[in-house]
Amino acid sequence: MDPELTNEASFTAGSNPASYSLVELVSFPRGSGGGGLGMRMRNLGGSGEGFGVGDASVEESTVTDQSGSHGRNGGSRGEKRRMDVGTFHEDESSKFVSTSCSYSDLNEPNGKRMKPSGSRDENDGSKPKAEANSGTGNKGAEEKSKPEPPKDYIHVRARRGQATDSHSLAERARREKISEKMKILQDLVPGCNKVIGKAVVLDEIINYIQSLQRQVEYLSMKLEPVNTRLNPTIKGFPPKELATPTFDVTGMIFGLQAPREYTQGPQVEWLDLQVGNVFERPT
Amino acid sequence: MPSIKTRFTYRFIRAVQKLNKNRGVSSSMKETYRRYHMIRVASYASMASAVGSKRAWSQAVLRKIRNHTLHRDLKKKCGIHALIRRRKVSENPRNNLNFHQENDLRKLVPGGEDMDFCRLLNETAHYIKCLRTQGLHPKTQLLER
Repeated sequence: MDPELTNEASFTAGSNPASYSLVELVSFPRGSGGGGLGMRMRNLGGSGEGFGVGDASVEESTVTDQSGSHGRNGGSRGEKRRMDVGTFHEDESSKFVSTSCSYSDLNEPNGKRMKPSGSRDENDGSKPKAEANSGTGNKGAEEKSKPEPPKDYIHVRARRGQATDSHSLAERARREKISEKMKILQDLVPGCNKVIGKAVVLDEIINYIQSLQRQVEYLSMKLEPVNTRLNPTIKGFPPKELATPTFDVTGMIFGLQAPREYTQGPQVEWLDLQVGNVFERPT
Repeated sequence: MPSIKTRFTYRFIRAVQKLNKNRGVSSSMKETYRRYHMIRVASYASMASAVGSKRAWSQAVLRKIRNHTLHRDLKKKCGIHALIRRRKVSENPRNNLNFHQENDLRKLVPGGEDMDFCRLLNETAHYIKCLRTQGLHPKTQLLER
């Protein structure tokens, strides 16, 4: 292996202290054999960094595929790498750059080389995220980001092929909030994890709330001193709720006649067990 | 700070004891139903007051209980504030394909008519948690007495 290869880590740390940390960005595959332009292109896409060619440090030939990415700093910084000038041309390097994510501070030393990437940045209508973690992805093409210093507004990443005007952004944020809450509810309601689809989950939630409310009613009935004399093994809730389960507390307190009809209707099959006993007792 | 569960249990037991103290001798059907309803109301009221006014649903429950009359409740639905809130709410679910379920959910969760969907989901989650404690612990304890 070339000695330069071993210097890779140190190179990255040393050469870019002020800008984004390369360590997290540079996660390209190591030991990818082969050489030549093709390999280099792939790895550069993986590393997600542009690189400077030409007066940048010269790269090795085939073995040091990864090291090509480090050369991008241009002549302004001291390179410890040798770039193979012969294999790279400026236009080729720009091709590499265009396939990988670009970074704004790369634009400065590598003037026109970064132009294609620069134009790509403008396509990103939304405010890009400050962290440049797209480098960790193999193909950075999906996410376009710039390591700009974070401003004081919320950074939203626009995905590829999605509209980026403020309305759809707000809509998308709202939808994400709602789906997040739906996930929470799914965890609360038993048996809801397996189903997929908002409608079914909502149905399950509604059923669950209804059954919980029925349970409260049932237990309230059981707390009646009349009922405690009965066999406490009466389990189960009324099979179905015929009336709409509206929450109607006022009806409960003061509409004594109305709720009587209300409860007699749907719960008659359940109450028969208990009401029957009431009738049998001598009043 | 005692948990919601303990606060609810305490209040509920107190309410039932009060009910038992004032209970009449007659055990007519009407009386039975009346008691049943009082106990159910006490359960919801104890839970709502244990939660406090932090949540929209507990506020709605307490408001309904305190308002007493059906008349006033109906008037509140048609009041100008309710109308404004409803209008704001109905502007939201234009994209919503689950309008039917959303409506049912709003009817189930107290106070759900006037919130937007996102808040409704929040309140539903908390409501479910409280309903569970309401249905389980103190009642089984009381039954064993």
